[in-house]
Amino acid sequence: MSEILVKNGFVYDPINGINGEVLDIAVKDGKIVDPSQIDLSKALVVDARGKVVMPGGIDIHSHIAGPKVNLGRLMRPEDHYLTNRPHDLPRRRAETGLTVPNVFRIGYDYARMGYTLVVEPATPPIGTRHTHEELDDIPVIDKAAFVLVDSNWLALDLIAEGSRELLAAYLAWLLSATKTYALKLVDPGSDVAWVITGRGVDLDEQIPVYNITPRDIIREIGSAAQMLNLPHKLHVHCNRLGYPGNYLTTLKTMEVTRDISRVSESPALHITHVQFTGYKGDSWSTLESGGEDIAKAMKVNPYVTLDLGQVILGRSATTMTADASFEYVLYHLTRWKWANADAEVEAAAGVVPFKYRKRSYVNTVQWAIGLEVALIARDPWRVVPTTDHPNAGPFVDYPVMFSWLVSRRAREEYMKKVSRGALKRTALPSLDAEFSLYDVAIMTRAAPARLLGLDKFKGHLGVGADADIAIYDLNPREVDLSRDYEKFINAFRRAWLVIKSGEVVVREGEVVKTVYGRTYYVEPEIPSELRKELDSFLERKFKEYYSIALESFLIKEHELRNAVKIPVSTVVGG
Amino acid sequence: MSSAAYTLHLKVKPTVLIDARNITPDRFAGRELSDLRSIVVLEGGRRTLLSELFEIDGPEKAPADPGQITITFERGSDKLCFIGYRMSKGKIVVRGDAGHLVGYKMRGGSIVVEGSARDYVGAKMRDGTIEVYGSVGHRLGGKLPGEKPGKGMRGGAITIHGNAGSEVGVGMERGAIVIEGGAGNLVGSDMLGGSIVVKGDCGLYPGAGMSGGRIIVGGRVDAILPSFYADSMMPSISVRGVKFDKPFMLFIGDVVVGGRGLLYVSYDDNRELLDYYKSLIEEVGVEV
Repeated sequence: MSEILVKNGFVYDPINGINGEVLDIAVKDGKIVDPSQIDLSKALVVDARGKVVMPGGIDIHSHIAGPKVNLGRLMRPEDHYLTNRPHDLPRRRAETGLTVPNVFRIGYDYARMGYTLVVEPATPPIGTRHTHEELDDIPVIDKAAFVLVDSNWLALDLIAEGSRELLAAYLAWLLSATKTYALKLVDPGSDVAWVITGRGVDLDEQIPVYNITPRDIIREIGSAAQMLNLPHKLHVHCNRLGYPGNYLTTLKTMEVTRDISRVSESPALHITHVQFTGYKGDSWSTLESGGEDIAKAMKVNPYVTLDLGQVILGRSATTMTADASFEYVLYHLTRWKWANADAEVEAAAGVVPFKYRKRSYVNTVQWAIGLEVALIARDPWRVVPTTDHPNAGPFVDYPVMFSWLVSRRAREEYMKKVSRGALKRTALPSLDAEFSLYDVAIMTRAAPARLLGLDKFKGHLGVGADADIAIYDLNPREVDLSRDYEKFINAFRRAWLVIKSGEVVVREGEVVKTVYGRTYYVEPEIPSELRKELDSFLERKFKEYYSIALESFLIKEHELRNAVKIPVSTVVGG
Repeated sequence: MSSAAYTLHLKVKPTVLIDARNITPDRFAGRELSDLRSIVVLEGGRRTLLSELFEIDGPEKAPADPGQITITFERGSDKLCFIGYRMSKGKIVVRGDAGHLVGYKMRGGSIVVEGSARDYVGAKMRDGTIEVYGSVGHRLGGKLPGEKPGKGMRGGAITIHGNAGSEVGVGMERGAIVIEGGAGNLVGSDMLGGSIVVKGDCGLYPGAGMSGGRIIVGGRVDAILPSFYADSMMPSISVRGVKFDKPFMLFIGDVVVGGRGLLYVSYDDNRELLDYYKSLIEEVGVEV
């Protein structure tokens, strides 16, 4: 069945400015077409009367694949004891896990919530072949991965030398060699500093040996990303993450965008899981929320976008980040289990299980920061809700997180259960902002698509877009989100119908078909005059630094299940 | 007060693992015999009925109080798993061997296995008693892999008349384990509290990662971790009604986790290993 007609639904499509109008959406051969092109005698007609129709959801930051995710699975067998679900072949494969689920559950649970594109935000270049193997096995959703360049010796060498064009050429080569989508900086320079001095660095501290600062790394790599004109410019996890008082570092990192000359009007910097870098105060006992300051800084730094990293209290989480030095600190706070891994010359990663407790002072402040940023900034096009799965909470709790944004009452009910002392130090109890369903559609569909530069065919329901559609059993004319937030949560937890690339994959909250999505990557062109220089540079450095040969490092397109190249027109050397 | 005794005969020797978690006094309580025959049992992961695998004899109607019910497996098998899962009262007797996870998460009552049992006997049990006449496998009274210390056995008593495998009482919090024979490596690793008595020999490193509780080894020990302090000599000790009339050396550890667990090791059986520690204790004694 290649033709589908979704009739009479309340359509929310912010990119095309459609706010809850009753429209028909037609699908033909995996794309959205004009309803007149559908042959009604053959088409599957879905009556979505009294239901919400949205484009498929997009998660811009969720650790779903890669070496460290697997490390988390190995480390947490207890995550899999009570979460098993046998297979239901040929419709659905077996599922297990909550914070570090198996590949099938990741795909299915995202599909059940109506999500159809998820980005793995950190993969070490040399481990990316593994990341792709895992991404290939995640069913239903489309995928992309960001490659880590924060402590990459080759990039650091080029930054220290000041060879800007060669750096851009190297990064372009790295993206195409690893078949990844964008550049990711995690606590820039800290992995190098940690190996040498045993501690991370702040934004303006010198990185030993290289004698550059993290600010230089962000600026140079940000500028290179502009030269390459990448669709998603730069994804940054700020320095000093997880330390009280780090909101100042975040504010300074936002200001780095002023030193980056832009080639387009698209955002220059995406600061990720900002909750973890929004702590005010000198110590854990005096921790306060820096959410207000960050939200205000958004107004004066127009080329910065954020995602929240919203904490979900009372659920277990598994923190996993390429910020290895912070995981080492966190292990000493939790004293249970810890794993760290060093990826040769490129990056490091750590995994520590954690539980955010409702009655904890610190955890309650963390919970409030994410919401404050979103509610005070009130800019759904630039502030995207995530839980940084599985760091601050599992992605299956997204609907609960949205309920806190759309309903003041949901927040107030929840605030009864958390630490009172902590709430006094935050602005959250006084905030009465409430997002609408249209805003939710922006935050979860339109804005991430635009931030990823995929808004031509993702995140909207206009003619020509990919036929990724989520239908939720929620009547926006009858349900008052602010009061009946439980209904909203239930509707978003289990979508009524999900269409992925023109095929019905979820019906009434249950997966009915296992399909496999695409993996997006970019391959920026490298000018021929730089090509020679780059080749000799790579040959020299691979002999010097790497344990594997240059040819073995390259990932070919046929190694991915369904790779899709996004064209990029660069301005290197131009 | 009337007590009800049910006997279950295995019809054929099973070749795959059987999940018998529904065969407990709690599930039997207040049900008709015909009703009991249709209790769900998993055979190799496939759902089947109790009557398919067992012939069941007993009163027509079970008493409402599970405490009055005794279930006897007339023929055991090492494929019978989850016997006595979460049972709170009553008694289960296995006249033969039992499989894995006997008395898993058990809350009360008693289980007697007249043969041997496999791994995870009494794992995560809260209360009640388990007695095994033969030997048992690994992780007796333990926690599941990956869980925090203290998620193992939390109360009750286990008596093993034979030997036990490795990691006896891993992560246990309270309760008592008495082993008449020997035990494998890592007895009482990660334990927070409770008592483990091994009357025979044990393997390497008893008490690795322990932060509380006590371990008594009445026989030979292969090795003791360097993270244990030799504290003192005891002329004789008595734990949970088990009396040893011979000298023991007391160690405290494991200092790697800042623990204050007590490890008693028989001195006479381990002179070669303990003489050096004894000289240290005496040296300090002279100085004091």
